[in-house]
Amino acid sequence: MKRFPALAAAACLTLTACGGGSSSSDGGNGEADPSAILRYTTSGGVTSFDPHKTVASSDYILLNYVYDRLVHQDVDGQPVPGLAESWEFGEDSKSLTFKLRSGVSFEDGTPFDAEAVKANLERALEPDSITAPLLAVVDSVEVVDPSTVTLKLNSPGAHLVLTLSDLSGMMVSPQAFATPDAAAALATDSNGIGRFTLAEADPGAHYVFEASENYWDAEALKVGGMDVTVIVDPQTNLNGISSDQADCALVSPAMIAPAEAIPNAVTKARTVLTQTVLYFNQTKSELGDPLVRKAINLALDRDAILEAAQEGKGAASTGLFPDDYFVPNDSVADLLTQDQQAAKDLLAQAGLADGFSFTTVTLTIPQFVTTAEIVKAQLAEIGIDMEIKALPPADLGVNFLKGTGDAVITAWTGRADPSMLLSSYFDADAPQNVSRTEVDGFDEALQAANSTDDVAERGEALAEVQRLVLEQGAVAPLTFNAVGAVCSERVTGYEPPLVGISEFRGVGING
Amino acid sequence: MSTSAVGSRTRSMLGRRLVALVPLMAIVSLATFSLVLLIPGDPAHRIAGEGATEAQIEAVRTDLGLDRPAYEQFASFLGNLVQGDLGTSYTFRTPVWDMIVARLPITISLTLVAMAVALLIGIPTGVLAARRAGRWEDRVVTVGSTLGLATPNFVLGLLLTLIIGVKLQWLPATGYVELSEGFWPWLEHLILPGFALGVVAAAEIARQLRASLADVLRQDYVRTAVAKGLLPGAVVWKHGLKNAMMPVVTVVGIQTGYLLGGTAVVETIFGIQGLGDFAVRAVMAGDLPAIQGMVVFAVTITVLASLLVDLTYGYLNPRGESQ
Repeated sequence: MKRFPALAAAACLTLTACGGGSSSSDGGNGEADPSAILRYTTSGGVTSFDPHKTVASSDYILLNYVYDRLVHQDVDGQPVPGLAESWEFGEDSKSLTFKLRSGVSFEDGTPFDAEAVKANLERALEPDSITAPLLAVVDSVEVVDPSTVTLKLNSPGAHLVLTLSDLSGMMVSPQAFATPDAAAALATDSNGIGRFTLAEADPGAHYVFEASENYWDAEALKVGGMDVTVIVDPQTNLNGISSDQADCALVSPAMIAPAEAIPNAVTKARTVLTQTVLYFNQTKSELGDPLVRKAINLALDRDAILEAAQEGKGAASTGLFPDDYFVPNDSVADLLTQDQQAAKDLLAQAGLADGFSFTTVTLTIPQFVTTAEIVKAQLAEIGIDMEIKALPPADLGVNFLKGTGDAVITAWTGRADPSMLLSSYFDADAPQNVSRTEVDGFDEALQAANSTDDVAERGEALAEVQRLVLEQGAVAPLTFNAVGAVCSERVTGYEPPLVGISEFRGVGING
Repeated sequence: MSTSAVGSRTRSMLGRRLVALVPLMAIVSLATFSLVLLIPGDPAHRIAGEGATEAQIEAVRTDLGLDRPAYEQFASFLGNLVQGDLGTSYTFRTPVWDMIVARLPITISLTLVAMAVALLIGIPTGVLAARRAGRWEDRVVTVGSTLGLATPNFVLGLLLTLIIGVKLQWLPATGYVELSEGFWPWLEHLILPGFALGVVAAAEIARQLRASLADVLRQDYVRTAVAKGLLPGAVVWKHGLKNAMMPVVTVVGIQTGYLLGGTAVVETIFGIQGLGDFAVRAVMAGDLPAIQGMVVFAVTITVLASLLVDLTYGYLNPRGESQ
């Protein structure tokens, strides 16, 4: 239950996500103090505590503290049991059955069972839900018995497992959303099953979470609570660790080196799924020609971008996913390896041997402005003049979708399942597909990828979708981000997850 | 002039100023409302999210009344404002007034400490410079105050937090704790930001006080007091300071507004979630009701501070007030 602080009790982008079952220890030999409060400083707050009706997918970053999902992820982004103990696909991947965890209940005491799952998934499918497009393959939800629920699908849905490890699979108490003012109430107060309950919130600035009693996964809960402060300035974030005002702080590429210099603190960051891309509006300027877009992809030296814009932290893109991910990048290597002569030849084939100019919008954040400047310089070498227009984070996406700029340099945050990313930007009907165009064969290839739940097979099938997209030059992937946290030496068990959002499952503080 | 007549004039002045506040706030509200209309982008689309469909965007537009003509939206905003309703934050779905009230004690605390720093440094150094006018002490104060005025508070804040907070760890580099957790924990978190914020005001107070007090100390009645055998300290504090304080009061009033503005930078550097930090977040998020609410609130505070200064003039110089 959340309460707003009284007047006298006022509280004091580019982000990453969660890891499920990490438990490695690095913080000394003491025992974790179960009553300790983990003080974490990060860069973004919660716009709504309603996982299905929020408008910001980044809300997941804090919502995972108070809402467990049917499926969780391990630090490498693979599915592990959450509120569902197991799952199984039916014939042709056209149904998906979950066996649910028993003996758990929502924070208001409502038992968690198949009826609750059905009610949640149906709510997540409502037209005004941010999660509805992600669950489009779900035709109906059937209760088999109190601990078994089956999703009937209209097309193969192997992607649903990881999709349900995100906002879509968060379980809200059915009692909470059955009330007339549920939308307003849940926007500011959580009511789910999770490691923590929300005790206090100063929206956008400060959140206090208390540990749940008798949480089903004791290994995942080793502290008595979390105190999360949202701080705009990344250096201030680090200062909190230096002066022992915080136990852990978010680090992004530019902050990794300064974080590593802090005495008595451990920095752990890894290359995550979040990436910087040059994404084209194919309906404008010469960028409508796939030859031109392919030429741009070949003109770019991504290692140089990584060094200059991210201080070498992260990885240069060799595809839409990092090299150690289950989707292989081999088939697209020749499309993204710098070859200026080939790029010039393609421009000549497109009738643009003398070059052309276009405008790219980007964020008013140093990392992105630097990236844009380097891309501009590299494109100038093949005769393309790229004008840069920087916009504040709140305005960039909306303005680009409304037609500002011919292309955008932005961050695509890590998604639980690759199909979520591919559908969001390359499906003709996706609101974020600014061009409203679709690569030939995209739907069929994606459906094929969602027809198997074998990880290796699925990886190969998704690689084929990726090849289709990049052969058309629908996007120029640039760099993958490196994200993690710097924590006091007393903190144990922190491992940065591949998806990029730190859940702090299993993290403790030595007494 | 009798005491009752002065009191009557004060009440009259107070009434006029409060009445004048109404059209002033209307103008400020209109200006703020007009400015936010000029912010590029579609607020309904921003609120609905980048992944929203056209239908969802339209639903948001209708829900928030953004499909109405601008004058209707303004009338609605003004009507709500009169009732103390600053609207609901687009970003956090929370009443703007509640968010301001939650952060107000933090910024008041910071402003109080900053003003205490300003007065504790500014008044003694100003008095010292005035009493030792033309000597080396005066020149040191002049150079120091010039340096104080010339140093941006974000530069000073960064230096303080990195040297005293991070390197030496004498005081907390970030954060804020409530007064209810103890006076010292509360104060120790505010010393560095308060200093960063208050130094400019201290320098301004020192300069103004030095000028006015040096002038007062040259007056005949002061020479008379000295000739009567009063100690120099008593002459300054009893006869000089009260008559030299008017410019200082003016500076304090003006600096209240500056301090509110300065908290935006200082609170960001020190990781303090006060009103300045709130304003920064509102602008970054393009949260129109939050921006509007914050501007209206800040203007109200500034106007009230100005009113308080005028009332203080009346106390310090009843003749001047009555004239």
